[in-house]
Amino acid sequence: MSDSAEFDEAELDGFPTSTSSEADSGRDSLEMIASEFSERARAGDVPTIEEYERAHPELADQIREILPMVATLEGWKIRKESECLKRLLPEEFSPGRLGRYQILRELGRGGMGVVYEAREDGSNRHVALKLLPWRFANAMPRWSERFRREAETIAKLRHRNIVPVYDYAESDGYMFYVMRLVEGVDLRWIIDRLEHESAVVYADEIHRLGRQMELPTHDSQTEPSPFRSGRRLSRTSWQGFAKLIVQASQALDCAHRQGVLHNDVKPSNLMLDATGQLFIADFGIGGNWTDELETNEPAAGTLRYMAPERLRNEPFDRRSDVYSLGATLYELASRRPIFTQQDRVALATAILEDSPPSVREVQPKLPKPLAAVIHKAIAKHPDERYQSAADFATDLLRFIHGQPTAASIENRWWNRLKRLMRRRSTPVE
Amino acid sequence: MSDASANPSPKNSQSSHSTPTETETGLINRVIRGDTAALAELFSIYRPRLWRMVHFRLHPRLQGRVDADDVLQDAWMKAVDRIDHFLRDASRSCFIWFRMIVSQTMIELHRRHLGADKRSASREVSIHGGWGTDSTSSALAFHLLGSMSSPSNAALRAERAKQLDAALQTLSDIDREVLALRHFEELSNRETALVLGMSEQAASARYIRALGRLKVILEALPGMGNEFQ
Repeated sequence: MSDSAEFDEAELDGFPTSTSSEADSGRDSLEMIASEFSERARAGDVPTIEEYERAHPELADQIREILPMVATLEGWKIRKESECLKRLLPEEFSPGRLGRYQILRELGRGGMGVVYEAREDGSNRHVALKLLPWRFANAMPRWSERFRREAETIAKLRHRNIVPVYDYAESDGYMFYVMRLVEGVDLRWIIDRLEHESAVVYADEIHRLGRQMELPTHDSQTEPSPFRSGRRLSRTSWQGFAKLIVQASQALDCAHRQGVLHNDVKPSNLMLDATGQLFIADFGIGGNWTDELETNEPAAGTLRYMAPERLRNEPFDRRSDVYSLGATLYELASRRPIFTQQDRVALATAILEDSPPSVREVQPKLPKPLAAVIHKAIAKHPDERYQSAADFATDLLRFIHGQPTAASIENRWWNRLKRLMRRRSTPVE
Repeated sequence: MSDASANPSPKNSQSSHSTPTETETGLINRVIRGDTAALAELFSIYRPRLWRMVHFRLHPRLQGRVDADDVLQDAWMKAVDRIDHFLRDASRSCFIWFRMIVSQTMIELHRRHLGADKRSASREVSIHGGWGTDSTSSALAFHLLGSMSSPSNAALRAERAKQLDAALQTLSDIDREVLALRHFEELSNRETALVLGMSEQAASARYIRALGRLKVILEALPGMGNEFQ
């Protein structure tokens, strides 16, 4: 270092730190390219190897050799991170208290976090609290950022059928957000109940179950039920099913118009309270880390409702959510999922390649117009589906009000066309 | 969902790999004058990165027995003891100074718990935790290479993950370490050079050489030839 440089750095504050020009001296230029590539990838950019080849033609051969390794190692790091997070998640974990929330019990896991029922100090209001269950989440910014973004995005969505977010906070190194606690059951429970038991779900039963979610000090017996008694869902509540899915598709449409896809619509993410109001929960914005921990690919529970284009690594849009909601309605109405394969690969293959079995073969009593709506929603190709959740809701409303649905009219034309084609082709043979 | 969209611009504590921020400089000045409270603040800035390092480098046999927070607590006590050496030892990078103290704490810990001698204990710390010697998971997150492709590729990709673990194990300790520092701990070239006690020039050459060797090993594995072209 020259005397003048020393003189320039002769500040009384701080350390003498080397300048960046010094720092770069002698660094391998390929290494600098690799560093930039990693940094961009970490910052959420999607750098391509080709752009580096073009920018540094003299190093193109080495870039082609080295950058794929860099990308591979970054991918491997993410995998190691998720393994580490998995290790850190205990079987039973209750933080007791977070900020001004008293944790009461665990409601469920999945969709990137653990959900608890909690009581807010002061108001004594019962809420659902979703927690990223490890401290110093900031050590893994990839995951904590997703979580923060998930909370932010959902908080922006305001719709009577979307579970509202009340609060986002960090406390004692933990990150969490607070939502309305829906007192009720999810559609998974409804479907299983219709399949296995009395086949009738009464609203007051849902009410009771919802109440159980609260503290046992509440005496549910004496409390008057806030809705008409006798409200029920049976195996043939076609209009009832349609009404549930109308609410879900209207909520989805609201999210879609704000540029938010749900990405994980399935029966267990649709909550029903005793008044018959439905709530969409668990927007899959942050990605589902529990699935990624296992295999980096969706668990069968999620895969079953996933649109074929999503499996194909193709661009997907709101119509993929329409498919998932259609698949949910298919199962709600027939009590059988579209594809019943248990093996993940077999299931994915069926979603990609098989036509869905006619819902009326599974459930012959199902009205034809409703069947047509379901099949339009779950068409293999996105262009053949409802082009928006709003269109789906509108056609379901037509069915509910006894009007001819768009899906049925299309079907009629299509059948007529097929008959015509058959008639034409017969003489040629 | 691809990871590409998930990450915003890095936070200051994450990105300040080489040059200290204004806050850090202010704290550094106070630490030089012997201010322990400033040292604590500085430590808390680096704490997430250090926490991450502890988790990744903890030997699989110690996982569940040793808490990362306790390791950091021990390291913190050591840092306080050494505050008089701060000016001399931390001048090139405060983070690396703390990291070195954490690393020494971990070596002692491994020695105590695994009964290893000092030399092998330090080797354990550098090559184990996070290197997945116990990795049974076949998971692989090739987010950067596109998240979800056809399901028939799932088995192939799981296989590829195992092979990558195996390939990393066959690298020399120093090659593996340099890749761990650059990718696992996300250290800059300069920080890596400081940790390994070599010049920046040597560290950058080391890194590129390690990447090249990894590629050769992966290509030599059966069925991998086309995957990394």
